[in-house]
Amino acid sequence: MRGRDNRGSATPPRYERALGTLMSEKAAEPRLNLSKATVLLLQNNQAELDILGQVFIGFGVKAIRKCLNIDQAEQALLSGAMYDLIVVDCDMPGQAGFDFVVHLRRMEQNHNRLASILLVSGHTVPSAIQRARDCGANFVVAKPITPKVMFDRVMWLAREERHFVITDSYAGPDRRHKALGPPTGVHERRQDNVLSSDTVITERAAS
Amino acid sequence: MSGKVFKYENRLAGALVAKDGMSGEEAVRSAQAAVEEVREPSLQEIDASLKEIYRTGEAMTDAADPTALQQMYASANRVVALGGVFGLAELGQAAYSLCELVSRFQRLDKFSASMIRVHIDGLKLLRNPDPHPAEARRQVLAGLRQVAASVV
Repeated sequence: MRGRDNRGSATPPRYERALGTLMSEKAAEPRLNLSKATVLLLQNNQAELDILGQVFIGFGVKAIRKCLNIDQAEQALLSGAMYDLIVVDCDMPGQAGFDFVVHLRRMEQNHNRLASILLVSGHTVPSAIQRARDCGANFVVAKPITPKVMFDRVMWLAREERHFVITDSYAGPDRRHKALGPPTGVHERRQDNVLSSDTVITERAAS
Repeated sequence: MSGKVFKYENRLAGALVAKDGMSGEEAVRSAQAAVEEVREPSLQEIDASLKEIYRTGEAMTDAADPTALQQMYASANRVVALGGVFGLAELGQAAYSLCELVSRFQRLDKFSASMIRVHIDGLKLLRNPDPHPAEARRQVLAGLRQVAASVV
């Protein structure tokens, strides 16, 4: 009978908590103030670059650096400016956009290496899918980039709390969005899980 | 394997605010208005890319031309990026199907000029979608996807 009583309860505790969370999220609608953000845009062609620039102008961003090729983007990184968000086109010739991200994540002396990086991708050939995952970007967004899509992704990036991982073969945010570890009572079997090491430190971007 | 894991400051997190700033609705409305300012040049870019696809397609013979295919892929990928922003989502989807077709040709070393041409017909139809019923447009897109998927 006890089980039946529990099921018969109008608002089980777990449901109540979930409902409470939803209600509080609705009450405090998330807002973005990007007026002080600095954004670097690297796109393959002028029309796409202009559209993306307009989207961020609409979001209230005042400092936008627009680049049409890798050289311009690298100059921008070395100019001393600090970028809060870098948007990179996956469709650069020769998959150069991925190389750019890999290179940036390895630039130890450059504070921009920890910036949020968003990849935007049109049609993706199979060989590029793994590169998109492994180059070190925070997120990949499929084109066409509409204001709604971009707002949702920027909001997601602003809430990003993943650790930064540097190994011999990868530098970037932890590719696991949920690092849950092994089940309770089960020991980690892998010997090379960098998260189990004691090298966790806190790093702030130099300002 | 050696590695380093660390927490770091998410500089974008500072943009997340409880007051001031923009709600999602406000930001999207503002950005949409800003994007409208580049509607005309963007539509011109779409038409230039389509013209390039048509020209390349008409010049294709029964033998694959790797350079022409790569040009066609790049032009179609531009239409993928631009179409959906200005109410031409179905055109963008047809261009995506053309990209998929060309990439399969490149990867599997196959080629069919007629498969390219049927995509070009689809693009021409979906560039001016209004005279055609939604169901007809849906069937055109389904057909194009089926053509691309048949290359294995």
